[in-house]
Amino acid sequence: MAGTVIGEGLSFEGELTCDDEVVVHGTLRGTLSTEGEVSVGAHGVVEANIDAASVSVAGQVTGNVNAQQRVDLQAGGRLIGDVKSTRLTIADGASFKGNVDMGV
Amino acid sequence: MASTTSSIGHNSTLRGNVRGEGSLAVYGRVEGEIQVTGDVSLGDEAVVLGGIAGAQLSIDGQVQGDLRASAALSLGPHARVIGDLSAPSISIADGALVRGAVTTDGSAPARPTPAPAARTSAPAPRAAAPARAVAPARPPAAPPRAVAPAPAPTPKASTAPVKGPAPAAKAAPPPPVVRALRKGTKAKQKSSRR
Repeated sequence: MAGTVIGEGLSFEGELTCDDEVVVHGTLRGTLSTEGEVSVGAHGVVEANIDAASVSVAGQVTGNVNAQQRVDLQAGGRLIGDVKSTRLTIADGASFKGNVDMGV
Repeated sequence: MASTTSSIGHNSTLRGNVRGEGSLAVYGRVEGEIQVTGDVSLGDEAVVLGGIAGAQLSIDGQVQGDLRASAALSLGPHARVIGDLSAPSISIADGALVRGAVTTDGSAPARPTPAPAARTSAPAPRAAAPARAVAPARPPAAPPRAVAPAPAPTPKASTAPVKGPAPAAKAAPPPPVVRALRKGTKAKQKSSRR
């Protein structure tokens, strides 16, 4: 049981709360909060505010991202929303629109 | 990647619905409906407050809502269900708690190999009996073809003839014969009686 996985083809709608890893290959609408890592696969679609320890985006995310540790926006990833995290990486080829707050 | 089964982890809670194509394993808590085309399994510590619909459901947790399976439904020893169960084939393990109506109807899925009777464990006599009832229910569906060619001599057959004459109408011959017989016979009968 590697935490929570939203497989491709499935869509979760609502408020998802975990204390473990969350992997999104499908669709999530609502809110997502976890004490673990969130990774959004290349085909994953998240329309939610994300609150997690770390977030890795290879798919699409629309919503504000708040990470305790880090946010990684990978190539091909698309993030629309504000990011609040002490570390942020944006890979070449990723698209991003929003504000960044690194707690400076 | 559609083969990747989704899961809701041990300490995860979803307040909302799950829908779509694929399978789902729940080990945590869901407060909402689950409607998927694939299979759904609930671990022994899973809690679902809402209905569950899927192809094959194997439930070993708590559910407050209706369970609907298009293929099969099995309740494990730790299952606690408050709601109705409906599936072509249902098995309930010893120790499972159920409060609700149980319906085993094989009407929806037209599968060549229906209700696997392999699961005839002692605690599931209900599932076994209806499954047998399902099997004989299909043969009657086929016979109408045999009935169709000769609808006239069997007016007693209640429902079957209704389906029969429609396809037979294309094969012209039968209907005229029927009409002719009716007219002729009626006239003769009336005349003979009077």
